[in-house]
Parts: sequence; C-alpha cells; structure tokens
Amino acid sequence: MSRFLFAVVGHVNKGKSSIVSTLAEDDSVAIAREAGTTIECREFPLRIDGRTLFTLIDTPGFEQARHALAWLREHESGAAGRPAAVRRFLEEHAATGRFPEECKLLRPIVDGAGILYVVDGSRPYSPEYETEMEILAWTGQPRMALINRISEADHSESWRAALDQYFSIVREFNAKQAGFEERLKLLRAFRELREDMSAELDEAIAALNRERERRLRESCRAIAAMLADMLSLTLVERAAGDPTESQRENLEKRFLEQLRLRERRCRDEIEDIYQHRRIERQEENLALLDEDLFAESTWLRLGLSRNQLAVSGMISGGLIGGGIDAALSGATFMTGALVGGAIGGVSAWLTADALAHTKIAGISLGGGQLKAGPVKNQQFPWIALDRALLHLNALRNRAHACRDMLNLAASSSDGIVRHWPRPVRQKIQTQINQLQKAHLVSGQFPYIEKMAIDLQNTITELE
Amino acid sequence: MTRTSTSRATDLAALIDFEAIFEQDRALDRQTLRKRDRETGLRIADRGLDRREALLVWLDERRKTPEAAPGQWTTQGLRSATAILFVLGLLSGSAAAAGLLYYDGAHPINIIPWLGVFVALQLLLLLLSALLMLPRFVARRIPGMTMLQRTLAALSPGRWLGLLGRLLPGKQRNALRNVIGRAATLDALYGELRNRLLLTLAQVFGSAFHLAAIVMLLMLAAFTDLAFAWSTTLQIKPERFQGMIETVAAPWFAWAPGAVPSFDVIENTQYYRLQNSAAPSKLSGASAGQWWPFLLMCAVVYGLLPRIALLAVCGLGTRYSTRHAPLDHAGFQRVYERMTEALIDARSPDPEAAGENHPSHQTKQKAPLDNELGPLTIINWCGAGLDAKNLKQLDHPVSLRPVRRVLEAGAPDIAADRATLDAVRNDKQDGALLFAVKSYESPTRDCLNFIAELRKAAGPRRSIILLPVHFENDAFIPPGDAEFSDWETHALETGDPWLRCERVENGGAS
Repeated sequence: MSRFLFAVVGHVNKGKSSIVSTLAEDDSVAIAREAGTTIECREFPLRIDGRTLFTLIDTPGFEQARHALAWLREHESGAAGRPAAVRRFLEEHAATGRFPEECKLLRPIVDGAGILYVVDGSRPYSPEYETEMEILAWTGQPRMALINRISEADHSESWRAALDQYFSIVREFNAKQAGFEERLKLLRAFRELREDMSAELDEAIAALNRERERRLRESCRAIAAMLADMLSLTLVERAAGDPTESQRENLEKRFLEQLRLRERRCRDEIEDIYQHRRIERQEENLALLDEDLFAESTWLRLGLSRNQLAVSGMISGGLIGGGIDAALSGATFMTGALVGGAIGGVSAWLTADALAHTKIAGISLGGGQLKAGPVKNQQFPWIALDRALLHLNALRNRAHACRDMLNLAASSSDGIVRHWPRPVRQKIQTQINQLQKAHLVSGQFPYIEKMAIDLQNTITELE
Repeated sequence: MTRTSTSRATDLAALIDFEAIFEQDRALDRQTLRKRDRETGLRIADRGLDRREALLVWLDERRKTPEAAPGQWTTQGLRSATAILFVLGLLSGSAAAAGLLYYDGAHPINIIPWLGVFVALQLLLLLLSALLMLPRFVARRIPGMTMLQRTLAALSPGRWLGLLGRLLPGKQRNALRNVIGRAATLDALYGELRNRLLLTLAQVFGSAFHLAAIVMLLMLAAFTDLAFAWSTTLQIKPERFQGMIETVAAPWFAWAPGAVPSFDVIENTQYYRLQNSAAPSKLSGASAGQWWPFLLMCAVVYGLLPRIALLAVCGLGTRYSTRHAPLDHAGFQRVYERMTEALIDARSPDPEAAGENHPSHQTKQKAPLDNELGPLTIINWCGAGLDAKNLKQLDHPVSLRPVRRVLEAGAPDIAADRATLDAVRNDKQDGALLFAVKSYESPTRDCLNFIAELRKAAGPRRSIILLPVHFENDAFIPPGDAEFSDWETHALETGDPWLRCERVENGGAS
C-alpha cells in the first residue's frame, strides 16, 4: 500500500461514499440514505500498472463525536499532546467497543492519512459538527473540507465560515455531478494538502488524462464499428413461391430488431469502457435514449436537418460523379461531380421529410426470396450516430456516485451532429459513404478506424 | 515463454495465429484483455523492442495451447498440400510426357505437340503468371486487370487446395480450412499474400510436372530407340521451320549448339502420314533420333527453369510478404495499445462489507398514540428547534397539546444531556415526551443511546414521541420519505412499545 493515504471522514450520511465512488470511478460503492451504510473502512488505491500512488479510505461516519471529544479533553496534556491523546483513545477503545465508528475512522488518520472532511452543503450548518472538526484538529494531520451538496438547497456560505476555522483548504465538490475536470481540480487541491506527494499526484493527473483520451478513442471505435455493422446488415429469407405480406413484415421486424441489438451492444460496450457497469438496470428509464431507434420523434429531433442532409447528399452524389470524372481522366471537366452532387442533394432533400414515415429496410420481392437491407437511407446513419454520441456524452460527464437515471442535458436533446461545422459533417458523410460501399466487414476495417479518429478529434476539438 | 531475441520476423504461422487469437479474444471482456496484455507489455518494457517485435512476444505468450496456435497446424497442412501437389505434378508430368512421346514403331513421334505443350503453353502461362503477380496498386490502374487477376487466381492449381484439403487428416483439414477462411475474410489485408501463396503452390505443381516430363524423356531416350519427326497440316517449308526452331533454341544456341537440330535433320525428318500419297519422306533413323536434345532443352528452358525461377521468386515474395506484413490493422493496433498504455484503476479491490440489516417495518408493532398525552415536554436533539410556538404550525394531534417545558440535548456540551435526563427523571407529571430531531440528519449511536437513557429516566410506560422536524427561517419543511423512514426504522428497532415515530406533513399526520 502507498504511504500516501487520504481518509474520507464526516458525519453519518453526508456523502463520504459518494465522493469516494466518484473519485475512484467505482459504481459498486453502496450509497444509501439509511445511516450506517458504511460500517467498515474500505480502501480505494489509485494504481497505475499495479503501483499504488495514493489510497482513498472510505470510513464509517462519526456516531459519538461529543463523547469522544469529552474523553479526549479529559485525557489531554496540553495542545502538543493532543495527537498522543487521540492515539491513546484508539488504544483504549479498540477493545472496549464503546466507540467502534470513531476508532475505525481515526485509525488511518493516526497512521498518517490526510483528512478529507465531508459535509452536506445543502443542509444548514450546525455547531454540533464542531465536535467532529475539533477531534480531527486534535489528530494534527493535514486536512481539507469538502462541501458536498446532496440536494438543491445551498448553505455553503455558512458552512465555509465555520470550516475555515478548522481546515486549511475548503473546496466545494458535488460528488453526484462532478465531471472529469472537477475531479482533476480536486486532485490538484490534494497536492496543496500534501506537498510531499506532488510527484504522485502529477503522475495520477497525467494518467487520468491519458485514460480519458483512451476511453474516448475506444468509444469512438465502438460507435464507428456499430455504424459499419448496421450499414452492412442484410437479412435474406427464402420463401416458397411468392413471399406473403406477413413474411415481408416478419423479415422487416427482424431486420429492425437486429439494428436495435447492434445499438444496445454499442451502449453496453461504452458503459463498460467508462466503468458504469450498473447503469443497465436503469436503462429502461432513460429519458431520451430509451426512445426507440425508429420512433418518429427520434427521427424528427436527431440526425441532420433537411438542408444539411441535402448538402450531405450532394457530397455522396458528388463522389459518385467524381468517380465518373476520374474514370474519364477529367474529360468531363468535373461535370460528373456537379451533376452527381445535384442529383444526390435533391434526392436527399426530397426524402428527408418522409424519413419518419418510410421504412428503413429496403424490402425487395423476387425469385421467391425476401431481402432486407442494407440500409440505404441517408438519414439513418446520422440518427444512429447522434444517439450514440448523446449516450457517450452523458456517460463521459456522469459521476460514478450518480445512481439516478441517465439524464441528458436539455441543450443536447435535439442532437449533436447538426451542430457540427460543415467540414466535419462532410468528412463523416464521406466515411459513411465508404462504409456503405464496403459491403464486406473486412473492407470496412480501414474506414472504421478512420471514422473513429475523426469522431475523436471532433469531440475533442469541440469540447 | 518470452523470446529474448531482439529482431524477429513474422511467418505465415504467426499471421494465422495472430488472427486466430484476435478472434478468440472477442469472447473475453475488456478489462481481462487490458490486464493480460499490459502485463506482457510491462515484462518487455525495458527490452527496447520495436512494435513488431513486441507484438511477436505477445504472440508467443498467447500460443500456449494448440487451439491458440492453429498456425502450426495450418503450415503443416500447407506442407502436406504442397507435397500432394508435387506428387500430382509428377504424375501428370510423366503421364503427359509418356503420351506425347508414345512410340509404337509404326509412326515417328511428332515433335509439334511437344513444342506446343513445353514452349507455346509455357510462354502463355508465364505471361498469365506475370499478370497475376502485378502488384495491386499497378493492377488497379489497368482497366479490367483486377478482374482478370481474380479469374486467373481462381484457375490456379493453388485453388485446388480446398479440394485437396479433404484428403488430409481431421486436424490439418480444419487448420487448412481456417487459413483459407481467414484469408477470404481478410482479403483486403492479406489478399496479396494469398495470391503469392497460390502462385507458389502453382509453381510447385508446374516444377514437378516438368521435372517428371524431363525425366521421362531422358529415360525413353536412354532405354528405347525413339524416332522423332515433325509433321503439320500447315504448309511449312523446312527452311522456314528451321528459322522457327532456331528462334526457339535461341536461349541455348550459343552454348549448346548440339541441342539445335541442323537443317539436314529438319529436312530429313519432315513427315507426312500419307507418305504414299504425298511427297516421299527422306526420314532416316540417324536424323530421327537427333531431336531429343532439342526437346529436352525446350522442356528445361521453357518449362522447368521458369517454374523454378518463379517458385523462388514467389517463395521469396511470400516470405517477404509474411516477414514484412504490416501488422497494422485494428486488431494489432488494439493489442499494441493495450500493451503500451498504463492500466489505471482506483476501484477497491475489497468487496463492500454488508451494512446493518434493518428488520422490516411490519415486524414491529407500533405503540398506540395515547389520547391522553397530557402536557408535553419537548426535548430538542442537536438544536432541532421545536418550541411551543412553532409546534402550533404542525398539522398533527400533538400540536393541540399544551407545552409544559422545552429541554435541550445533543449539544456539544454533554453536561446538558445529563441535566435534561435529570429533569425528566425528577418530573412527576405523566405528559408525553416529544423528542424532536432534525429530519435531515441520520440517527446516530449517540442519539439512540440518549433515547435509551431517556427511557430509563422517564419510566417504562411514559410515551416518547420521536418527531423528525426541519425548520428553516421559522418555516416547517416536512421530512422526505427516506428521511422519515430512517428515523422510524431506528425507533422500531429499539423494541420500545411506548416509543413511536410520528410523521408530520403540512397536510396532516400519517
């Protein structure tokens, strides 16, 4: 175990475990309203390749701070002897069981842990807390106070005035809403608390930044692979004689279900990448993402606007026309590209309005065989991409202490891709076209990688 | 097992194993893969290996079971298939030579078919092979060339591999199917390598074919008395035919003139089947036997040598393609990233200890709310802030009761607790004790211990009403469900029949 420890302490049920859960990105930490959820200290070592840089320790809350302080006061021998009094308190009460929680939470502090004292800034300050602060001061260890607002009300100012008396650093940290930057900011504050571990904290911050980049890269790959998979999906069903309407409907149903399945797999993969492994059970409550991939409202709200789609259509049409130009060594003076672009643009513009009402799968009859797919609709990949990006965005900013349903910010509920700059949309459209053209999975490999890189760069640049 | 060499090349077995392991890895979860590959990466971190070498070390570590290393079986399968193709080449070559050199003494052996098979056909095959070997980036620029290449590849004897595979034992057959299947799936990545492999196999067959034909020619020339002639329906004069023969013999004309038939031999060996009805033949036994060195050189120069040369080129090409396979598709990239990127983990290695097991609310009986509560004594825990005035705000039966006194407990000074307990102990009235707590705080051991002390001080049957309250700026805020439940649960757990937890809502008591 690392010599650098931070004990997260505080009153019962003030969000200690939430803070640990968010900082350690561990959604297995039990967080409950009932008192006494944490009954034992639990260590959360930050390891890089198995080497621990520092360890966070979740502790049970103070339960009898007044009596503990009274005992300490009875046994103090001047200010210099206070840390010794705390050690004696532990020695005497370890066996008696009279102060089980205080013994557990003070043990790591006496062993050298820095103190992270957590209070609930959404509840009014009360002087009773001063007994806890006093005990912590007696330990003589470096300490920082974290004002964690569990609910909406804000009493941070009154808390800060009191905490400033006992703690050298006071920070606000909302465990359930803290994004990546807030977590890094807190780690930088740790550095102020323990100057002797600056190197470790710098290493941790650098590693976390790299990890964030890695997760985004892997997620973008998963999204690009999902799109490739969706765009190459084809289902064929043999029919004795002419296929019936019910067979056609059945195949279409299966085809759409397969597309949904690919989307769900991608979500699972991204949740796994971001270590949100317990989010699944809440997925049925998802506000926007639970809307079906093919729900009309999804199609109206996400993806590209009709005009944007027309421009994208011109790109793909232009590509085909450009191919003609290239084949004829430019003898058409780019007429092919212009005509192709115009046709593509007009067709995309005309069909955009009907997207929510038309079937996705191209079902064709012939030769006693029914075939569904591949998807040719120009809006479909943008819808699928938008939904994946909304999900990714929500996860990237989701604290691991947050156990609420996955909630998407209102600002992004109308989608992401239509807000991208035109050159970015054009680049992605080109890759979508290439994915559609490369029917074989093996042929899609290079384009998946290319699209993943472009998605990652776009997300990073627009942040 | 890790290799200690610092420079290694890939071979076909390695490429097959890479792909097979990538496939197997799809069944493993992301964390397991990261941990496993990072461990490999850390083990070799100080060896200064480049990307390719690092990937090969990774491969060595994964090749622990035969299932994980189908490359070995596949290359064995390929070797067996090569041997079968070689034997087939020998058989067909000797059969072809025996057929072309069939001599029953009635008619001389016509050299034209031999020239057709061992010169004209070989030149055509060489041309097709050269087209097949055109690199992809060149072929793409020539209209129709890619399609022609695919057609030629389909006709290549190497394509017989799949059929030949059926003759192999089970394990090798599966391995061969695996390599053919993977090659088809990853056509974009390994298409060129596959073409070279098929060409190599084709050259094995071709070399065996020519070798057998040459041996057959030598054997027949040595052990039998062959008579050769040239005969064609086309009207070719000996002079012109000599020119053609000299053109064919140009490669060895200078250094093996004995293997180029003279004009006399050509003239003397022109042969017509209907000799009696056509020009008289000057065919002589001496001249008829002088063709075999020429035929031998034709088979060697146009058949065997190009095949051996192509075999060497293709073999080296295949070797080069495998040794320098880019190892850069997504599978390799991900493995390399997993090997080189640090594993960062802050989660607890220990499982969460089980919390206290709160019994179900229904298991305890609530104490009846006594209609005769009498005048109330309010005890505020930790400054809960309840007094006679704000009690009237509460929509609850207790708000109708008179308040006799207000006491405090839970303050930083624990002496106040003792004073409150003494006051209760000394109180001779029977009025209920209204124990107000802050609803948003959780019950602590300190609080529950005090309630236990309060019970002792108040006597066993005096009503204690636990009232979670929250006043902010003199306004009452009703407790939330979870907040009230927390207090109610702990009150019930005391097992005290005269202690009950009451909920106050603006709309009325529950």
